[in-house]
Amino acid sequence: MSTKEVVMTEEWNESDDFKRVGTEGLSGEDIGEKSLTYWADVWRRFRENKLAIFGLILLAVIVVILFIGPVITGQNYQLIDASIKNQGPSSAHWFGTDDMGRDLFTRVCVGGRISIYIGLCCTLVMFVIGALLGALAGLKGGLVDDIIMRICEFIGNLPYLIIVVILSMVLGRSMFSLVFAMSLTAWVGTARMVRGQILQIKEQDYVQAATALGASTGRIIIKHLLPNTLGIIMVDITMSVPGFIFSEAFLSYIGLGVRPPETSWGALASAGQQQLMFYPHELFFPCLMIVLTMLTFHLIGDGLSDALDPKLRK
Amino acid sequence: MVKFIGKRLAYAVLTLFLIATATFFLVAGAPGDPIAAKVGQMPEQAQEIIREKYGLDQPVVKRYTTYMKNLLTTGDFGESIIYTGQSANDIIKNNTLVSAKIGLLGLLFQVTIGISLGMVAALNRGKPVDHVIRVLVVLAICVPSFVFASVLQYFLAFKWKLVPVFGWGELKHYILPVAAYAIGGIASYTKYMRSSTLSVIGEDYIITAKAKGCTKKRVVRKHVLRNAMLPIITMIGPSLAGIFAGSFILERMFAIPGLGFYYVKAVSDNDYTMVIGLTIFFAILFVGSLIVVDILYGIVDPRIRVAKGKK
Repeated sequence: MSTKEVVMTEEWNESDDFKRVGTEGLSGEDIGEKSLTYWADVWRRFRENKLAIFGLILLAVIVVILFIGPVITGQNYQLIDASIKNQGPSSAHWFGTDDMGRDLFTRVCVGGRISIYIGLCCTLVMFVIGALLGALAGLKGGLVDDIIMRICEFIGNLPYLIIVVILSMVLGRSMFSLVFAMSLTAWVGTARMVRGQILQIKEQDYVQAATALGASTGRIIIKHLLPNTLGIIMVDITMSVPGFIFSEAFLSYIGLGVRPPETSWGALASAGQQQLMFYPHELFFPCLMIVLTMLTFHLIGDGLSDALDPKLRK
Repeated sequence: MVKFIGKRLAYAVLTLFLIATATFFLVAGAPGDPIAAKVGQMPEQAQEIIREKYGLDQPVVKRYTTYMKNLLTTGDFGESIIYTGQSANDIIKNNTLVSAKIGLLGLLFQVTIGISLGMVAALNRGKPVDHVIRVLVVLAICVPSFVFASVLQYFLAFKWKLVPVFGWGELKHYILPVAAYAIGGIASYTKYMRSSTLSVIGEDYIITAKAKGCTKKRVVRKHVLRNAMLPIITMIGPSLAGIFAGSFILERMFAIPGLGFYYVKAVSDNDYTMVIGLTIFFAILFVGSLIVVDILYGIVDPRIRVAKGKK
C-alpha cells in the first residue's frame, strides 16, 4: 500500500497539468509540540496533581520507615520486658511499649510490612486471575464467556465476609490462607471490569482496522487491548491494596489474622483496643499508620484516575 | 417479570444449596477436633457418648445428609457443640432483629446525610464548604470503622461520659454503634452524590429549566435532586444486602447481642455446628435481600424493566 502511495505522489509531482497553490505560507502540518506517548502524557498530568504526588512521597516515606525503622531503633519486636509494660512514647520507645513491654514502634514497622505485603499479594492474585479470565471471556465470547460469567455471578452472590471467615477458619491461621481467602472472591470485580472494557474496545474502529490489516489476535491483544485497559486496571489496583489492608485488619481484629508472634497493623490495633481505656497510645499508633497508608493509596488512586480520564485531558 | 423472578429464585436456591454443602464439608473437614476442649478431661466412655450425641462417630457424608434432612424438614440449623442446650435457631430467633435494627438505622443515616452533604458540596463547588466536605470524606473513607468506634468509645463514653461505653437495651446504647456503622457509608454516599450531582448540573435540561425561569430552589429540588439520586438508589441495594455482615466488629466491641456477635464468638470458639448453621442463615439473608433488591429495581426504574424485557 505504501509503495502505491509513493508512486501516486510521484506522478502527482511530475504532472504539469496541476499545480499546488496557496499552501506556501501555511504550516498547519508542522508538529507544534513534542509528541508524547500515552504514558508520558499520563505521568505529566499525574505530576501536576499536587495531592497525588504528596501521596506518592508519603507512601515512599512510610515504606522506607517500615524497613529501616527497626534497624535504627535496634529493638527486637518480640522481646518481652515486664519492667517496661504499657509505657507511653519516649525517646527510648518512640511509640511507647505494649502490654508485654515490647517496643511498639518496632512492632508497628514489622506488622506494617506484613500488612502491606498481604495487600500487595492479594492484589497481585486478584489482578492476574481477574484480568486473565476477564480477557478470556471478553475475547472468546460464547460458551467460555457464559461459563466464566456464571462463576462470577455465583461468587458475587456469596456474602464476601463470611466466605473469608469460613476459609480462614478452615485453612488455619497463616499468611497463605489469608491471601487465598481474600483474593478468592475479589477477582470477580476485576474480571467483570476487564471483560466489559474488552467488549467495548473490541468494537472500536481501530481494532477492526487492525483486524482488516491482518493483525494476529496476539498482536491485537498486546498492541491495542492491553494498553487501553491498563489504565482502568491500574486505578483498580491502587484502590484494592488499601481495601485488602482493611480486610486483613478486620480479620486480625476478630482473631483470624496472622498468628503470633507475627503481627500486623490489624492485630496490633486489636491488641491496642483491649488497652484503650488506660493506654490509648497502643491503639493510636497502629491505627495512625493504617489511616496514613489508606490515605496515600486513595490520593494516588484519585490522581491516577484523573490523569487517565481522557475527558479531563487538556 | 414472573419468569424473571422465577429464574432468579431457582438460581438463588441452587446458590444456597451449594453454599450449605460447601460450608458443611469445609468446616467438617477443618483441622482439629471440635469437641476436644470439651471432652478433654472426661473418661473414655463419656467421650464416646458425647461423640455419638453429635454424630461425630459417623462418616462425614452421613452427617451431611442427616443435617440437610433436618434443616429442610424442620428448619433445624443445629445445636451448639460448646454450649449444651444452645441452638443456632435460638440465636437466629432472638438476635436477628438486633442486627437488623443497627444496620437499617445506620443505612438510613448513611443515605440521608450522604445525599444532603453530597448535594451541598456539589452546589457549592470550589467554595470552602466543598473543600471541607471533600477532606472529611477522604478522612472518613480512610478510617476503619473499628478505629472510629474506638475513638468514639474513648472520648464520648469514657472521657466525657456522655453515653454508656457498651451495653444494649436502651436508646442511648444505639448512639455509638450506629454512628460508627454509618460514618464510612456517609462518606461514600457523599462522594458519589457529589459527582452524580455535578454531572447532572451540566445537563441540558437543567439549563432549559433555568431558561424557563424556574427558581433556583425548584431547579434543585425538582430537576437536580431527582436525577442525581438515580445512581445512588442502585447503590442502596448492595448496602441493604450487607447490613447483617457490616456490624460484626461493632457488635463485638459494644457487646451488642446481635447475629455478628454470636458468629464471631462461634468462630473463635471453634463451635462448628454454630458456624455452619449461622453461615447458612447469613447466606439466606444475603441471597434473599439480593433478590428483593433485583425485583425492586425492576419496579422502580422502568429502563431496567425494558432492558430485561429485550433480553
